[in-house]
Amino acid sequence: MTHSKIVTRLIELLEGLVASVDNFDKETALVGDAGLESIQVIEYLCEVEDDFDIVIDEEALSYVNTVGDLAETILKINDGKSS
Amino acid sequence: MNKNNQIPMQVTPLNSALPLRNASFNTLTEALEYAAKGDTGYNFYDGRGDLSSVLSYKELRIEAKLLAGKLLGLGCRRGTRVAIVAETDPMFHRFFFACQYAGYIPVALPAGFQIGARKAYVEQLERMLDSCGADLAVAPESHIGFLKQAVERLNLVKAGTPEEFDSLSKTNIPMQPLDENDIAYLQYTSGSTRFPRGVEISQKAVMTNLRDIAVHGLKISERDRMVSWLPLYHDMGLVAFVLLPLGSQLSADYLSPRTFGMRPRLWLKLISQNRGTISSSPPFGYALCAKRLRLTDQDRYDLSSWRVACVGAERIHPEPLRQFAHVLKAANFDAKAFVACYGMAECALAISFEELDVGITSIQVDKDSMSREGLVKPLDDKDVDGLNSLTFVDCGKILPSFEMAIRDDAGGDLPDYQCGRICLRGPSVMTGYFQNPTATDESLSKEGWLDTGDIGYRVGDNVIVTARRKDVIIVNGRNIWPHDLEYLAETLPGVRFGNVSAFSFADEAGSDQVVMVVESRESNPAKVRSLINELSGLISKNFGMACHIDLVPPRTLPRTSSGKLSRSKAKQDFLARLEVVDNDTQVISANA
Repeated sequence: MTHSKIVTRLIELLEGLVASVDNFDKETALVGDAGLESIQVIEYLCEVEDDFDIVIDEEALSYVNTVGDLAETILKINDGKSS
Repeated sequence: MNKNNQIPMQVTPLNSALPLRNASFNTLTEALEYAAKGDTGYNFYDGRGDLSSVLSYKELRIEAKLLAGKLLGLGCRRGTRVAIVAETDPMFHRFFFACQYAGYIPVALPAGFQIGARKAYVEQLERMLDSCGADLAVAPESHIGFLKQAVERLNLVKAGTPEEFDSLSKTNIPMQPLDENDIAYLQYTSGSTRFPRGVEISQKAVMTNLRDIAVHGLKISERDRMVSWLPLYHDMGLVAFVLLPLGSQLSADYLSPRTFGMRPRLWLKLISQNRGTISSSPPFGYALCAKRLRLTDQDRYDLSSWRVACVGAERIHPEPLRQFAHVLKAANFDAKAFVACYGMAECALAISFEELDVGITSIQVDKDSMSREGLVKPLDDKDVDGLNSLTFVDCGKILPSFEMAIRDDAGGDLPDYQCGRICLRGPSVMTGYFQNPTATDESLSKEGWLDTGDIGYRVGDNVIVTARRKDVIIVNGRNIWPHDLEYLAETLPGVRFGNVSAFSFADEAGSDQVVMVVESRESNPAKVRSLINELSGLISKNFGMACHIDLVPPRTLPRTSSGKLSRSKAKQDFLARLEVVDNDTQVISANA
């Protein structure tokens, strides 16, 4: 899966949580722009982990700000899996 | 900890096979020595709800003593602070009790994670390590990166993973466990993240509180089993679900807070499957759970064993609890299991419990008389029309070891039904804030009275809390000090020191919305937008939450005659502006 495909899927997963994802792209900050509360972030991560069938650790998450960052992290985890 | 054993792991049983002793011990090590003669202990469940480790009190005693010997080999003084990044993992229990045996003081540090908040989290750890003067620090593998970064500028004797400490050599240095007059632990739950304060709890204070809770609050028997997802670095997680089960020889089952946040239904599953009887949460936990339940789920759970569902840690709104009980009625959850309680880290944990088997008791009072004179006039149902009343929850009788006084601002005692500051005295009250005499003197009088800073009234020995600590913002169970938010704004160019006011208010749905009113000379719309964006970004990075920013012209914020900013007035003004400009409400809901 490419970075941009992951971004698209990540934005789709945000749909149920926020009013509108119309202007969202890889630059969208999950907490600031997307307006997720910290408890919603956890709910969102749950969906992301289930959807991609991965576990994202705290250390990796601490560097994630935007949808693009999260896609990057997922890409790395997937690479680790296949290698 | 039989993670890699050949024998399949087994959950610790309900019965310890020992005569029940409800925390009738002088110290935590005495309590562990007794519990270790039985079969009960702690059980840890992973992110999928599967059992991942078991730590019986028997094993804990052996491992904690072994580790204590190794720690003593590092040659630190008695009373050395040992910081433990408190992930829900057996390592926390091992290090906490190793300290008890070694004569060291454990300090639980937050293991919370906020997305993208690396810098803020590392700085928070650093400030706490510095404030408690820790010489030793340990973090599980998952958090060691943060800890190592946080100790870079500090002079610790050793900071590492549990494995690094385990690989130290064994010693035979004689152990002198913490005794009843020693500090049992430091608790960082309350106060500003910028100026953290460690609450000093003595062995005597925590043992008295455990006894009060077990005997009078929860009426614990051999048939009890505890289940928790609360963070171990919070007073409720630590005292109620690590120390209380140990003090009463009960088994406890854990999910991590993160697991609960991601899959709250696992909480119900665990209670059902292990027949849990006691489990607590701040109101938001019940609300989150109710929100994520599916109707088809109900008959998958049997919650009939759950006799005490404590509700505490923040202002209690009855509605989400009613909803939780309603959705789970089919799963045999009894709304009478809800027990409102009141407590704080400065009193070890608990101050009062509502009677058991009663449920939440709401009280409607006359709004006018309350806001004008602080006088409480209870209303009958027939007199309530929604606009003239306020609803509070009875937090029950104060525990027997406490004395309570409700005082006015001048320190005078107030009678029943009159609102004032809740003050407490008794053996469970903290010794003070660690190495912080100024903060200690502000809250503790020479006569031993703790001014909780909370506002409420009494009816006999019952306490009704009407406002938690002045000005504190509580979002999903997390305390946020307005000063910390305001400080962030003041770091931006164009915002002057003291020209910012942060507060929260409950919206129509009863959820707390955080607002920051900022004075600025900026009138260029593009620049205004960019200032707002920058500030929201800073807040989300540091606090992981959304905040509505209200930019206003200079000299808009209300000040007292001495020039001090009045937060309560700023909030009133803001709410008045909201009512005038209807659109703003939409801005709030879009931003929040």
